[in-house]
Amino acid sequence: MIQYLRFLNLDDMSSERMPGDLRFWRVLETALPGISFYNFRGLGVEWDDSVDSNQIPTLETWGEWLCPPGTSSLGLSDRCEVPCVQRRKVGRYTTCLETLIYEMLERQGFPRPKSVWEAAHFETKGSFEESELEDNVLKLMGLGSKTGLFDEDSEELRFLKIGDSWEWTEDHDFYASLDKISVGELGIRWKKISSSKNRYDSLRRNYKIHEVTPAREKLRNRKSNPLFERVDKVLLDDASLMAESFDESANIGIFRLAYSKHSEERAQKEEISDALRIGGSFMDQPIALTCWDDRISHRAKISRVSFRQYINGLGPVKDVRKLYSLRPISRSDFLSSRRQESVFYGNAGLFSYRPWRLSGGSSWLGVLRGMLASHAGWQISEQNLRRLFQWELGRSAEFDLHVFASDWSLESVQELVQDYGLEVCALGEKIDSGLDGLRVVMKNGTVENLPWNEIIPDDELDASSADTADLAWQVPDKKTPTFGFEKVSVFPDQYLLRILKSRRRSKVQGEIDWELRSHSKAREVRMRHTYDTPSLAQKRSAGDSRFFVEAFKSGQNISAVDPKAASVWAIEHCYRELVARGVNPDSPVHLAFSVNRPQEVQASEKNIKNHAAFTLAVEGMLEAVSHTGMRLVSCNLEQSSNPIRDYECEPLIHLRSEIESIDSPIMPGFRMGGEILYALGPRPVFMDAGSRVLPFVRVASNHVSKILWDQQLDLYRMLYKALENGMVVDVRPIGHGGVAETLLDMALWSGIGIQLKPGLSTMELFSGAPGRFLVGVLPQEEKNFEALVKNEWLIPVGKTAGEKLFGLNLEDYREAKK
Amino acid sequence: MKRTAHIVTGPGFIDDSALNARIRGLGFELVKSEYVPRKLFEFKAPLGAEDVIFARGPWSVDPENFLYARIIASSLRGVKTKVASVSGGEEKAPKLIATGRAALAALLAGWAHENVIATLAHGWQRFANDPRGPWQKFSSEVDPSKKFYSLIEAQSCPDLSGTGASSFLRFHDSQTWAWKYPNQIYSFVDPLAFFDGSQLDNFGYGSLEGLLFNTDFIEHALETL
Repeated sequence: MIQYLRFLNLDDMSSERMPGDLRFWRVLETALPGISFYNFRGLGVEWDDSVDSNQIPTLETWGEWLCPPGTSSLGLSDRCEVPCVQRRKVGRYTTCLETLIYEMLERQGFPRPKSVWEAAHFETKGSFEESELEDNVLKLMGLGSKTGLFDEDSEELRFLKIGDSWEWTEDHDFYASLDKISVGELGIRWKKISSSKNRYDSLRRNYKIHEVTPAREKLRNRKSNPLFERVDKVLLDDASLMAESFDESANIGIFRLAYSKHSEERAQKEEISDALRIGGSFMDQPIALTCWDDRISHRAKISRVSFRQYINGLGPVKDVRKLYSLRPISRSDFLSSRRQESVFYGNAGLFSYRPWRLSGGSSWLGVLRGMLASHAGWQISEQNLRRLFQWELGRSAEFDLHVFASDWSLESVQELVQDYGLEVCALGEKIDSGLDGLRVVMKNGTVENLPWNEIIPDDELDASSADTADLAWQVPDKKTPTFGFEKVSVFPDQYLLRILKSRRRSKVQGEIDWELRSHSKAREVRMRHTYDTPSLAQKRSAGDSRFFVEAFKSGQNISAVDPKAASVWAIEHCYRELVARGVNPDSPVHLAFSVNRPQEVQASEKNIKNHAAFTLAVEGMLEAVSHTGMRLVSCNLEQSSNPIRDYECEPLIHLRSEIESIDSPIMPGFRMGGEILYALGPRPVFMDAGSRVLPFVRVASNHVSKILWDQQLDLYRMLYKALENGMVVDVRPIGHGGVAETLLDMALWSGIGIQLKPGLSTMELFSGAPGRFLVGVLPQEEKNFEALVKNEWLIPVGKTAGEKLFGLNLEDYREAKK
Repeated sequence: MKRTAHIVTGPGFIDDSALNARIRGLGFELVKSEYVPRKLFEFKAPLGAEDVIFARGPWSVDPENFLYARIIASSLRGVKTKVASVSGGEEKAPKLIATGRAALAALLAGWAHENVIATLAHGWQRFANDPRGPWQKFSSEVDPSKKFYSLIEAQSCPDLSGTGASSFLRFHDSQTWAWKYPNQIYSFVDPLAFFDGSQLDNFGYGSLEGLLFNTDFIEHALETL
């Protein structure tokens, strides 16, 4: 028996929206003339046949629970009346709504439903043959994620004809049949699961990396220890910091957003803002930082970036006596994630070691096997072993399994976790009985022993740690053009306008950014100084006395040229943003690093290259950490990559530091007319890769300026001093758009124009080279400032005056920005 | 007599130093409780009749949020809210000043209405054609037994002008909503989040600080209770 509920929005009855990539529907236009779709949210609640229909909630009850009067109403039916397409996430407890429904039913004393699922429901509209439609939709489904209709990794899609039951075949019997399999058979199945170990893995094995540079330079060939080992050495292991990392008030919501160029804009905007709204309201935390994917995806997507202190994937298993796990938590179930974080934050005493987070991208059983087998003997109950297998069946890339070591008894852990509405499963404990394997305690009290070699695949048993991964990175041919920019020097204003327009690649992005900037909680945090992007935030902690500045950046746009430099570039950029906000460069800076891991693909050359890029990105981070004395507090090297695109390494950086006061008078825009402006920092030699002007002049560059950390830190210290004594009154870090774009941002912020110094080269104005600031100095301090700064770091840019930049009124720029 | 203000917040409650100072200034002693998402109220001290509970919660019109408020409400039903008055006899309950989801949950839980002040309601646009005329500053006349306070745009409310509220007011998508039924709560969208521009559309991030600073709300509220 199924109850299928549809939410009908009273205000917005005609939400007509095409799912997925519009290009496909255009191609199908001849077969399906005038096809369009109505979009609803649907909720299916499937009951066991033994449940009496009087025992389940009525439509009125559902309405009372789910619909605030005046906003929406519910439709209930048991069969499909109009052909439709439905999409849902794989697994159980995949969204907040599903979790809440289970909970509400339980609280109100209703029987437990067989399953609850939420679906995006697209009802067709138009006149065409149903079979024709079915054929075409099935064809599209065969194409998978590329259609933008669903995400193969974590979602499923189906087509329903008139009269079809809403029931969504889930293999209930399959789950049930697990109980009939003997423990020995489970062991055999376990052995068949191969863990994600692959030949190119530089995380857990020694590796050799060849950096093949173009002919003129010599070939570099290095050998190194496994990355995990090296990262673990620098990772800060501090209990108080760990608790803080789970503290909501010390953390801000960071979301990564992606949109598709080929899907309907309105639908995407609604999808993203709905998810942001629900996410924000369940986490009780402001959405402060967002970061747009640089590469366009097949579907609008929102994912939360979490920099909690987990061990991601199989990390060191040190002296663990008992292991527990929470039930798998979906990333789109913001409520359960929030509860899980509350458990971890409020009860630091629970853990005897940092908790692990196992991503659903690779087999949990595979990873757990590794964790358990690092002990000679381990004991687990039959019931819990079966539960693990059930979880594994419902695993998708959307889920995370949180595993933690604790000295507490199961009863006390259970009592605690239940308060938060979560389930816990005991993964057993270490035993010293001389057994080299897993001991399963059966329901009837007997025990069954599974030696490790019966569970662990043979190739893993054989693989010795002496194996070395061979990796190679082909450095692209040098392209450092110094010409091709003639038009830019003649019409800088026009190119600046283009840059301005290109920053916002779609209407969706513009609108969402605007909403976030003007409405997000971040503003309440005294964000009078809003930068142009919401990628930097400043906040107080709940304890009243501490203020934090945070910055978030992705190094994606130069990672194809040089992955190592991409990490360094992103770290440096974030660092610079912190300094520009008044952070003392000598105060501790906390770094959270995350990078996506390549999946093993068919072609070995690609593997060698992808894993080399990954390895170089991590090396870049390690290098920056060793040079700057930054503290690495969280490191996620297991971020999953998009399987439909070629691997592109994407280091994500999140920096945070404390400042004494947030009432500092530093501004990211001009304060008054007559200020003397300088570009401060290493002078750009070439147009760096990633510079925003490059696509408009059709010049390719792969030059990445090297960051000399010692010099750079000196520069930060010098700037900090100048800010402290009030010599510099406003400052902004220079980004990919170069001095020109930064000038414009500052001018638009304050409404004051700029009188440029004649003779500035295009390179100086438009190169997005790293390490530089744009500063404004009071006229009376000009001499003092010039005396303070090394000559080679200083390029005078002009002074603030009038209302123009490059001869164009600021109003025109502002207009272009809209 | 010592009065205690119980501030019930999620861990994500930001920037409450100013709020605390303000509440202390009103003669309260502060007790702070953090709620875990499953249990809204977790009082650390017994409540007195003169005490005030300040609670906040975000709110939006999504079914998730409504259902969640209901679930919190069902766990709130057991919380003892009434205390015997000093003179004995009549029982008195502490007051609750709540925004967003907390207000909704308290009311759904059947929290003694006469003791609840919920800062709710915006959606004045919806009421432009309301036979009851333009919204009043405090809409308690809608149902005198319930003291639901509704703040409206400063311009149309002389008492509130000069608070700086109107300049922040935005209705770019006119997506505010309200309950359309008389004698019920009109909206749970936090008006102050609109005032300080700190919310997304329909995103009821209640700001107690905004509440206390942008209006003379608390004095009014405390007098009325």
